[in-house]
Amino acid sequence: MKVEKCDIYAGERLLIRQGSFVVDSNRLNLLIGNNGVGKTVILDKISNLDRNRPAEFIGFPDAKDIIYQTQGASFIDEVTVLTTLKLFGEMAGVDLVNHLNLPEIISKNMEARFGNLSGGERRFIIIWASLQVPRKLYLFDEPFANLDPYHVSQLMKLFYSELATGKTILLTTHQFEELIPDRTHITHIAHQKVDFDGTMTDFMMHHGDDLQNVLKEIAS
Amino acid sequence: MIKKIKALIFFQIKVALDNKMDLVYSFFMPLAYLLVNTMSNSHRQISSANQLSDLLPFVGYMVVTGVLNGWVMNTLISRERNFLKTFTSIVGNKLYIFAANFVVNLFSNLLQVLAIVAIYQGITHSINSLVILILLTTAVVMDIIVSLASTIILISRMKLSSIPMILTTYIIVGLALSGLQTNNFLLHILLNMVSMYTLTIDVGSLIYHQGNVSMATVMPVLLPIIVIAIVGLILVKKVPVSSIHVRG
Repeated sequence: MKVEKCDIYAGERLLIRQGSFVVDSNRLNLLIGNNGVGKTVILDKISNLDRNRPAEFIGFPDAKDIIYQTQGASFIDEVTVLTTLKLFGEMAGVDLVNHLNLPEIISKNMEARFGNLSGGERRFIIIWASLQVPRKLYLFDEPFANLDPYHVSQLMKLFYSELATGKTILLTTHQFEELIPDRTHITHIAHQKVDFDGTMTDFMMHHGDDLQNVLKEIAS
Repeated sequence: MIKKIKALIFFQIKVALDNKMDLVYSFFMPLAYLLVNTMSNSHRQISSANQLSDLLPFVGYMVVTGVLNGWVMNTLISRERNFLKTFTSIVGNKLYIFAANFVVNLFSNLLQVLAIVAIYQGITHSINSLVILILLTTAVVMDIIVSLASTIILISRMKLSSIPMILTTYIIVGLALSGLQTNNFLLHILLNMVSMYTLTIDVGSLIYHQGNVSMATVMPVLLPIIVIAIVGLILVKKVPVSSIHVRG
């Protein structure tokens, strides 16, 4: 899966000029950059939910083979976690309610209404449930936002473990802790262009002594 | 596909049961109006034709209000809250979500129509199963047509904040237009194309008089239905799942 020399727009506004990058099926893919550089727009176009994927986006699966979790972790507030899991289970063709490795944050909140959970709890549950639905590509927009360090760590482990099952994951983030450099692919967008595209190990070498400043700038 | 839609229908029913405010507009308001108007005539039996004449405008109002406040508003709100995008991605096809939403809305409308008719016939001691059947059939046909017609709202670039005002205006103007009578063939077709209330009354009348109809009475009903159905089926595939106004 790759993007080749594509001008990426949000409406009339040009966000990225002649951007090229790959999505590596063997690594956790991170799309990073400051706010407003076009990360969400890229996920939108890859998801192709509104049939607006440019021709320069090559080799990406069809919309029905992609799970896309947007920034707000929005779901229907009126229903319980149990009802939500049942729906995801029906779509996935598996029993999620009695899943062997059900995280504690989910099992203890089964009867709680979705709207009564914290932003972090909602996000964790939706991302976990999304990963149980068998698809070729998983897109997560800011999955670590509002999560406490323990659940960031849990989610990070989950992402890396899912890679082993053949799933391709692409996410946007400002979170750089607990990443495994040689199992992570980074696409860094800055100044209306793809500034870097490669493994995290190469990214660290590329920036050398300046790495901490670059990450601090993106993380802020 | 059927399994997914069935799961979505049960899910949407749970959501709909939590959203009882819609009933105030689509059920309790016409019920109150009906009670005021029929209480004074509660002593006499009413013929089928007169029952239809009394009840068809209510069916029109309930279907239009139910569809606009129900499936149209639900779709718009979930799209602007960025939820429709997520939901479509999970389900795999936006048309399944629309179909499930439509079925739940249809059954909610049919139950309300049935309740109104039962109350009316109970008060007037005029139990008539033929009238019930005609009104429910009319409600089914019109629910499909109004839902397809309202895809124009779903693809337009209207701001969410303007939608309630536009829907209310349509309901009021439509009610005013429903009193309009015309013998002009083309004007009749045009009227039925824009006023779902007039079309409801005509569909109900056509079903009632089915053994005794002419081209002049069938075409002003059939043509708008065919045009709306074709346009709606084309547009429903083009309804965006991402917010039209807000990026990301």
